[in-house]
Amino acid sequence: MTSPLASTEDERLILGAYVDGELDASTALRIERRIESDPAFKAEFERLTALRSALRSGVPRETTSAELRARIAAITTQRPPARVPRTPVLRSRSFEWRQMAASVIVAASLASAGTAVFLRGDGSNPNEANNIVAEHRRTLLSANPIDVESSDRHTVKPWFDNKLALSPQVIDLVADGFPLAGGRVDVVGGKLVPAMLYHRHAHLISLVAVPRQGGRDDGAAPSSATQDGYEVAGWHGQDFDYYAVSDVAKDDLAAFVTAWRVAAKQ
Amino acid sequence: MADDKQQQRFAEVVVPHLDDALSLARWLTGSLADGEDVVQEACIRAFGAVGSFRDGSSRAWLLTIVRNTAFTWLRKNRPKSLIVTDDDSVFESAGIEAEAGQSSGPEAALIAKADGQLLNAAITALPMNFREILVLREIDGLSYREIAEVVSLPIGTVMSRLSRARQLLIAQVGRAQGKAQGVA
Repeated sequence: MTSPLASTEDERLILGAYVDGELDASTALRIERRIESDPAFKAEFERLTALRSALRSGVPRETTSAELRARIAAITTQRPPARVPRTPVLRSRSFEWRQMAASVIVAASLASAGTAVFLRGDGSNPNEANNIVAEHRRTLLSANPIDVESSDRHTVKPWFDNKLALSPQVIDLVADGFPLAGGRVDVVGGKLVPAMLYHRHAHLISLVAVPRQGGRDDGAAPSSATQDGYEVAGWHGQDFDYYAVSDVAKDDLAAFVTAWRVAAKQ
Repeated sequence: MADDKQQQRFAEVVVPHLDDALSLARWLTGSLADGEDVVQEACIRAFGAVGSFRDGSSRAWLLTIVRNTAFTWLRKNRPKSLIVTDDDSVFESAGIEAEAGQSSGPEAALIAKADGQLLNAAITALPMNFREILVLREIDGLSYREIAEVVSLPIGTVMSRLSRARQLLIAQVGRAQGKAQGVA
């Protein structure tokens, strides 16, 4: 291989990278020589630079209006937690909240049910617990239930790695009747946290993983609660606290938690 | 996190990139007004999460949130417009590749003369997979690495989508300009 340009497609990619200033000096030099010596290559180069300059002058970057900046400034001056979903966006004309997925409502029930489990004995203050729940609720209301839809944990786990630099255990429980549905990013306590979703027949189970450095599964029975017909279970796991929420039957959720914890130890 | 600290962090991490955020949201949703709603929504999420931003490109971090928010918005409001696939080959069978793969392209001078209206229409016509990467590169000016971070794809895929997006634009602009010249 004397030429780095193995195919027409590769040639295009590398020429594009040259136009974008993404090449190292030696590769750039090779491309420059090629442009000088090959008329077809030169024509392609000139088309790319012509397109670039046309875009620069014809399609400018947007500028945020003073009105939008004021709307955004208002976000930061409001106290974030402890308010039921209201945010200006909820009233905005183009957002519709009618169709809220069951899992969203479900996870909102974490509000009172999950709190006791959450910060028990780890020195956090109760305000923070409220904060966690409020943030969690708010995010769920504004987020799609599933950000990455996949039944393959080898897809979901790298997705979390990539998005959050967090690696919760992603386990597929299809053999136990809880196939993996995908993953989602939630905001809890001001931090982005991973949430996994599982199917149970027609229902959805949310499993939220809140990082807790040095945490371990102590084997203790999960704390559980029922609220508004939704089941919530929380337990400590390896480096994360876990919260499972769903509208499945209590026994089903307990079976899910057991199966998950068993699989997590393997 | 204390409110003041969170506010300050937001001002440092998020506010400098609002124009980039709006440009991306405008091109993903298709209109400036919808783009503004998406940016506002994304800022709510970013404000909640700003404490978790550590290092790297704050612009890529914000644009990742904007992109996710925009797709959520599209799923709710424009479900038919949202054809996103990781399988680029579907576009080949749709015949798009045939246009892009022409060996002799239009004259560079013709492309250089394309006006904003024509370019806007050409960008709008791009499949979402290609459009988002073109916008991130050509309008927001992100590096390949930043784009790869925002769209969660390998750099190789970013490069090939960007290249195809440009070929599609060149083909479309060349065709439109050629037609206009023929009439004149």
